[in-house]
Amino acid sequence: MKKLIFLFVIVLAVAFYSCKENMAVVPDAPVVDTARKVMVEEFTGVRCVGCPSGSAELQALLDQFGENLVVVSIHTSDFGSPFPTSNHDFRTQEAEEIADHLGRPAAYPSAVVNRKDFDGGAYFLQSAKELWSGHILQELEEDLKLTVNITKEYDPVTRDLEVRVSGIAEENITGDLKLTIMVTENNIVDPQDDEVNGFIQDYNHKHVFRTTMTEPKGDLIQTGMAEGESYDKTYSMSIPDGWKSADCEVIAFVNLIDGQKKEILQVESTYLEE
Amino acid sequence: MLLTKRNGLLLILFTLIYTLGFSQSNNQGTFSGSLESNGNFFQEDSLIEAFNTPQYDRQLFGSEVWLDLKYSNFGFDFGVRFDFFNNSNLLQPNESYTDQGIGRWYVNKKVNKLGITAGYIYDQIGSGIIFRAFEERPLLIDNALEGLKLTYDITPDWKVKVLTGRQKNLFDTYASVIKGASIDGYVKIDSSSVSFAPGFGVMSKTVDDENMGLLLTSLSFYQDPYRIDSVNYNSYAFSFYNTLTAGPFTWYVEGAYKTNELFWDPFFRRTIIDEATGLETSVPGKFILEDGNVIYTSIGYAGHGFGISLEGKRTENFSFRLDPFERTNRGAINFLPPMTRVNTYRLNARYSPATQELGEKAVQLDVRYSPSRKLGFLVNFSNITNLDNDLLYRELYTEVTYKYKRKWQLISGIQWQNYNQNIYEGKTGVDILETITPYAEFLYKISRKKSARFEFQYMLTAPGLSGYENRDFGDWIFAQLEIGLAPHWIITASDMYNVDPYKSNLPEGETAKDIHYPTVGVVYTYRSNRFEVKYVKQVEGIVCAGGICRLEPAFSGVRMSVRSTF
Repeated sequence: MKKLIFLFVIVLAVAFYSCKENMAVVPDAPVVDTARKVMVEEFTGVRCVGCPSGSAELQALLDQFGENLVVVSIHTSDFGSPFPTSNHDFRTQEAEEIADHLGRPAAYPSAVVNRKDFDGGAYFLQSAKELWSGHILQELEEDLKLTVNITKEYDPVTRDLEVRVSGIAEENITGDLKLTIMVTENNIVDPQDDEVNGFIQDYNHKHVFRTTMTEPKGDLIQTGMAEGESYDKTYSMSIPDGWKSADCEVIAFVNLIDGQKKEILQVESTYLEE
Repeated sequence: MLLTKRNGLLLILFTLIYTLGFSQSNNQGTFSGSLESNGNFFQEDSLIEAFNTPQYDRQLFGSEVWLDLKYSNFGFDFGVRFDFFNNSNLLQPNESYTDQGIGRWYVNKKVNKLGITAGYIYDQIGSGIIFRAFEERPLLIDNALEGLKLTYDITPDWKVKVLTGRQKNLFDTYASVIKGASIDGYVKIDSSSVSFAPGFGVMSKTVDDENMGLLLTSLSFYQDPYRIDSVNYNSYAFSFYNTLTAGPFTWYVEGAYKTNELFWDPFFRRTIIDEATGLETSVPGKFILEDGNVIYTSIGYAGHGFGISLEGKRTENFSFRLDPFERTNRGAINFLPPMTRVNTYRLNARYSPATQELGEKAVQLDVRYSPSRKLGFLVNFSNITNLDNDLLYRELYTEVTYKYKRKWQLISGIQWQNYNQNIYEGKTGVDILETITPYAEFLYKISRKKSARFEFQYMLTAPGLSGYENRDFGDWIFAQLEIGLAPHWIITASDMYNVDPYKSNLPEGETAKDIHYPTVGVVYTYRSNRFEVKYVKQVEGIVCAGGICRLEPAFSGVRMSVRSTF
């Protein structure tokens, strides 16, 4: 009997550990050459101590992916209430609506990549920072289904902005196509709490979500689109006085609402004074 | 019609019910079950920061229901469990989760010496260090293994077990495949009181292709000196364990080793350089490729009126998860036993340390002495540090119990804690939290059916013993009165109040508020049915179940629960 037990242990250990596997080789950082662009919606707040590390990761990804990556930093009420020394309150009703639409993070830093649930499961769109690069790359490798082009006219004197978004379907698409146009502002110096450096009075906030020119959840373009079919929408607004228009960016994207899915098909961005 | 997964499960269910009906007509078999249901009404209270979740904003109500049904006949055990989550905050305390379906099913049959279980399996190897599939409903952890388990009795004292499958992830399964085996024995030395219960287990995991793809992309951004060249799909964990019993002494020892695998170290600091500006940022968190080990031992003596136990554990890099992206309480294949006392009084349990899987050195000593039936003493000491000997947690807990006939009983003592809030709660810029908490519980039998229980605790923060200045929310007082009207009713009322409020990291110009957190509740029990309604104001804090903890936000509202077994 002892021999049997001894044999079992030996066989078990050998069976489990003797099979050699081919290791997965880590490739070099990817170089992408595609017309497709990916949208990352980062959820943050001035009182979120872990968030600056997420923003730094995103900056590194922007360096890597360049124009193929578009980033917006959405400040919500979870951590967004300003400090007594803050000059700005980055929270907006539109941001809250977007957070509710996409689902709020379980832990920070957190972001939504192209509004896609990469687990394919219970439609949690939020993901932790170590997943962002993989998800971005995965999306960049997808075929371009629809184009998004922005033409804009901005008058720095009257601060009137007109944005025209147009595009064409590269293949047959089913589901509701929605257009969202966001305005963000870069380089706003204001307080931020930080895990590493503690409270920072003059933190440089980037890609701060300001408003949407469409409904926060997007405006319906149409249901379904045939290959070769095009769309063309025009919106206008006045840029409020407090915003530095040279640092303001217009982001336009089309997403596909199909059941629980909210995936972004393509995104484009441009600075107001570019 | 396509036989989808859900339809397939329903088919099994109908078969089960059909079998049930058939067999009941023959008066065979047993049918049993249980119901557990919770309902929470959310009442926004911005003062205690119970707000900004979908439940407080608009949903107002959330519920969870588990209905377990079990049927045994013809030597088979069948089980099925229905789970319902409706706007529930149990999965993620600040989010809403809605889904329903079959949360568990299994079929179990013993064919001579061979035991067969298929379906959702709860089991463990040794103390769980390399494998534990379990459920903790208060934290919505359900790590059942969806697959097959075979056991075989080589002799009455020696059993082997093999299992394979994938871990349950809510109503889905994780993609990574796990497999394992163990052998457990029992050897008694003839004509002595000495016996051994040795065992050996092995567990392995194969990361799925999709998660590996994501990992490789993430790793491709690591520049020197952080670069990792290649990663293995498979990792293995081995464990030897033994319980030695000699009269009143017991000694358990377990040693586990895990081969090289990739895991996430949230405390590692990595420098990222912004190419455009040249600015360097230190970012916490990095994937690490290393092997790991755990040594755990526990030695105990239980004699007349005297008991002592001493435990020790050293953990290094023992994060064993389905893939390296899984965090906190999700996707864990194993369970590392906690090394501190499980406190039950509200303030004594307020700061509980979660097991640190990447590095921990822990000891715990527990001594109990009862010189008579009336009197009992308990002293418990635990000390946890990281591998660099930085203090994570230290607790000294004393308790005296005095019983006066059957009329009244007094339990009283004092607790001293050092708690590394930065590590356990991720709160930054805070020192170690030191507390001293005296407590007392007085139970008085008013009559044969009526009893009153009064509980009192006072938590003093930063008492100055060790020079730590962190006070977290400041000093607390807690009092509770519970009236028992046997056999049906229990009525409770309590209040938790920060007598000397404080808040760390408060910006200038803001002051901490003193706030009452009252709770009033009624429990009604009739045979195997239990009904409970509570009005609750609960402060943000650590909630633990079975040695696993998470930080939960404040709660304000009404909690109801119905439990039943049949």
